[in-house]
Amino acid sequence: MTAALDVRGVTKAYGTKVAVDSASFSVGQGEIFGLLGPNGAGKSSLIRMVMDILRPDSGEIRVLGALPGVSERVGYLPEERGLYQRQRVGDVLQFLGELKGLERHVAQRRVDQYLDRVGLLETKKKKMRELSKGMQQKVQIAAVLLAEPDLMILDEPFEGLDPVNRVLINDLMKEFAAKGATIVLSSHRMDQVEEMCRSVFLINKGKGVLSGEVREIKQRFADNSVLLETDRDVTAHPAVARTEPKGHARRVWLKDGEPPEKFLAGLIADGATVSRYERALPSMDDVFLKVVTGP
Amino acid sequence: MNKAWIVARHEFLTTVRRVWFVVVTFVLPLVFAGIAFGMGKVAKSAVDESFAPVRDKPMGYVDEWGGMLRHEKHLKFATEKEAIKALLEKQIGSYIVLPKDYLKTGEVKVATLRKPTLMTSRVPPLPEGVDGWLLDSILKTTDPESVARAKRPLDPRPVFLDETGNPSTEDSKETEQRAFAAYAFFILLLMSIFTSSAYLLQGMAEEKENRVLEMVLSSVKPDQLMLGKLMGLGAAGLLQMTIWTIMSFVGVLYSAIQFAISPMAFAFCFTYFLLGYVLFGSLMLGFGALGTNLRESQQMASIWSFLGATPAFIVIALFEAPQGTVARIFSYIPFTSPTTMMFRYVVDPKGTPLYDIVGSMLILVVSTWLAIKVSSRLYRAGLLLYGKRPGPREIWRWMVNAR
Repeated sequence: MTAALDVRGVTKAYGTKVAVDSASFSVGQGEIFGLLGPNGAGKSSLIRMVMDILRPDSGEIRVLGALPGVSERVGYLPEERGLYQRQRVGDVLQFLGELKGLERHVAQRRVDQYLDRVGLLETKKKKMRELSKGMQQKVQIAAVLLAEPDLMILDEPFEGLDPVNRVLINDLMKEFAAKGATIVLSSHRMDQVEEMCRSVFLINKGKGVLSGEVREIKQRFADNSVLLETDRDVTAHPAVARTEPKGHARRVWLKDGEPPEKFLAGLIADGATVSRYERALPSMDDVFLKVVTGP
Repeated sequence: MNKAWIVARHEFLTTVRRVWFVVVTFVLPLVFAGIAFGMGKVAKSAVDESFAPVRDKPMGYVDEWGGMLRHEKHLKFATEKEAIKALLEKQIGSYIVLPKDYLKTGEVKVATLRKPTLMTSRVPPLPEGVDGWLLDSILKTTDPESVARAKRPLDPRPVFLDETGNPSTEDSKETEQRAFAAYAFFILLLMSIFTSSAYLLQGMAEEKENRVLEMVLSSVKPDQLMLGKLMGLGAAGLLQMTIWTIMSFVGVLYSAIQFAISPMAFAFCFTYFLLGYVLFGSLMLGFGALGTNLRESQQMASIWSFLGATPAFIVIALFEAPQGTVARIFSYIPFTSPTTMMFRYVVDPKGTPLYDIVGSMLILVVSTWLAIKVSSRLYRAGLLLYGKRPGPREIWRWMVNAR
């Protein structure tokens, strides 16, 4: 199957500053993909090349099997974003919908539909400038969704959203992905997107530092620790190196060479009540720090 | 539907629905007309009031020459001293002194109590009819018919002959109307370019400030966006100009068009009008996009406004010699050809050579095409510029390369 997005050895420099250095990754169709990295890592430059706003100095990009360009099948939420402040919400969405190739009557219906989905139907007649920053952001997301694109490129989509709205947008993303849309999320807040993404590409100072499936990456970077909820104090256990509280449980680091299965079997054999026992996986933040700063 | 049309419709409707557009279009001309009318009235009454003492009161005269006829209103004084006294006592508004050698020199001292002003410092105000009275006095021995002729020596009845020596079929009234129509179209085109470009620049600066462009550019190509803006905002500008024209020129322009402009000439004017507008509009958008705010955009675009207005400096030459060298040179320069060719054709449709029309039109079409190409590159590069004004080298690179 053709990848929804294929980036091969892409490099872009502004003068002497290399913004993106030989980046390569591929996003499968129907996948939610994370493009992660700190501020200034080169994510937005990479996305602008995907959207044909910038041209790479070298390398190749394929978007839905074609060269980058204006496409009605691709939705884009840029990092530098805003909407016409002096115009009505409904008019702005109608215009953007028609630009995405929707027939007038279809655009009208979708405007209502997606404003309703983001909880802003009552703002349709209001001017953009009358809306709060968070509400404007939801209108921008609605503008991307209403064309129901096959591929969505969302640069920092959760920036400025409160937790309730973040969940709302999360759910919408998952719904679109379930219907077969491919979603590329870019964020410097790895914790906000890692649970949604199947695969990620980590970029730092323009260079790709890690890519692959989230679960596989986490397992690869997992240390010898477990999450344990038990009635016993295990801090003095001979297999335990150190512990620290983690909610109701404790995170337990085992000494090098101590197999977690043996540690669990020992606890049970000792008559301990174990209500939670699982392999502790690092967060993407932890992984990123490890990759960038070393173990 | 072509996306440029969607952009054009959006820009047009957004602009004409704005309260300010309606206010500026309908109320501003009335306010200006009111101010101009009111100020004109006030100024006229102020001037009248200022001239009244001189105009309404008798004038004194000291006749050292000795040839002046008596005047029923003006007062004769034996000496200038007596005239000054009468002036100070407000019996007279002014006086003149005709020296002994008046016939030889023509010098006449004119005295009033007014302070010198811009309008009267060289020619002090005098009551009406003083010239005629002096002429009557000089020619008092001549027969009345000759005196009347001397007062109005030339009453021209012009006859214009064509190359065959026969009287030309063009009458002078039609020529006047043609000139007036040409001038009206000339002003209309210039004003359209300036007002429409103001909307273009304002809209673009707003989009840059609102950071909406990246999202829009993911759905429409920059040249389509630019074309749509040119069409939509240009149409809004033209609508405004049409309304202003109807409001201000309704009677005069209608009669000028009726007499002087054939449908062919109108189509001809409209073509130049459109090409000129697209040429200047695209250049202003392209270069205006290089500014980081409205003020900078206006600065970057102002060179084109200046070039477009250049024919205004040679308008007299265009009136007098529509087929002359200056007019022909301006017809082949794309920045001046829309107004110049339109002017030449309306003033002198039969005398304008076909090769001038075809040549200038070709140059204009090619230039407009080039302007759209270059400007769309600058427009694209400039639109995504935030807070950094590019240098000439960078601008040149953008003009030559797409990105």
